[in-house]
Amino acid sequence: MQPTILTLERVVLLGYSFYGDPFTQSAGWTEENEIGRLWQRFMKFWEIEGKENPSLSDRYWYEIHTDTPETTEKGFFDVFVGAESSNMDGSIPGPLYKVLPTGDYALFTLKGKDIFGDWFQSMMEKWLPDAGLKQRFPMLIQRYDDRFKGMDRIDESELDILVPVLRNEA
Amino acid sequence: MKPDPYQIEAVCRAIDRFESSLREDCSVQNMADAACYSLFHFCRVFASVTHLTPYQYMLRRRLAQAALDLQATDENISRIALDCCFNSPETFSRAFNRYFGMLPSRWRSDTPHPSSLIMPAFDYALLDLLHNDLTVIENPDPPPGRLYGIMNPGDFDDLERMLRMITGKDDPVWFVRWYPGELPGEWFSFVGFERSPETEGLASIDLPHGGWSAIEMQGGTLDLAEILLQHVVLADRVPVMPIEYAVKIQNRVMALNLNELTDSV
Repeated sequence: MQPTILTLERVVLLGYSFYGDPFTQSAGWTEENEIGRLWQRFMKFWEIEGKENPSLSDRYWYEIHTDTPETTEKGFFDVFVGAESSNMDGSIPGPLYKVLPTGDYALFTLKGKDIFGDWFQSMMEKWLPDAGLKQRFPMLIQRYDDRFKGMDRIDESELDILVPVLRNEA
Repeated sequence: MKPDPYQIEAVCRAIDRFESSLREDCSVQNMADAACYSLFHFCRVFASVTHLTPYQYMLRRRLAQAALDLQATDENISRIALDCCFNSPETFSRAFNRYFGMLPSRWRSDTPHPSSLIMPAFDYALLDLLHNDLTVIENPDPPPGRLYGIMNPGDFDDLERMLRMITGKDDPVWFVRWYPGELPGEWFSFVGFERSPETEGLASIDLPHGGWSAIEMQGGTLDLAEILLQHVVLADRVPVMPIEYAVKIQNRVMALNLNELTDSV
């Protein structure tokens, strides 16, 4: 799969974070595990406070996985779920700010049931090397917008994956 | 979503990788590599196949190995902790206590323990049974309060044939394995009928009220059912609770944990 290269300026996100073993309760794409509960928490915030706040945008929802030293050893992940914020003025108590570092990102768009597959393996072993790219640091971004129709309509859905990249030295 | 055979095979490769180096450093990433999956996808698939996360599995198997070492050797506890990849004796003792409900020193002094408490390595047969031939029964009706039959210390051996010979009955037979808490490491096997066959000399056993857990499985032994109940169906119970009664009638296997006896109706 060929990526599109996006150069992102500093993107500020506001949302919630989880660190640990994400599948202790359930392994599916479901609300019954730690990531599902993170989304529930964020959506509750959005309904009550977020959607009325002019500094926040619902253009995209982000789910960001960042590896830590314990990721390879224990399978613990840092997961953040949130939306874009136009500032970091700290006016909204509770949720956290996260900044996507400036730089190049490879954008892949997954469609239908491929969303559930092991696309990360394909991306690391084939898609990025074939495009002369390598991951710049261990962060993976799932970016949802209105093309994602939900788990019950996965065949009609699309999901953007962004990964920070560097060009391989020739 | 039900895992497919390829996913079960991949998880078994990962488990083999871990089990072959249980006393050495083996990371979740090593297991993912053996399964040929990316780490995050592997964690998801592993949990869907085993009902445990990879790290939970590693931890429980290392604790199981440590429990066996405590029973079988005189090695000091700190050495066993390090041999089973725990960073320190304190970390080990806390994890052991959380899982088994007692400190390692107490486990050793109370030896022996029911083997069903020691989580075995999962294999393809167990995982295949779990996903294809096993149903967890929510809120099962409890077994009958009293059964009539014959009992032996130890295993079932020839009890069913003997019971049928003595009584001449071909009614459905209940198999009961009873682990008396006051006799650690010992168990009794009972085979009997729900209704008294009015044969002289039969024993009766009263099954307690409480929170029975049940599964239905096509094939498999009572031993395997106990493992699945103890370590998969009831896996999120902390600490692991010994089964006091394991009961099988046709395809249905039920178990009552010691700590649930207080939930009597």
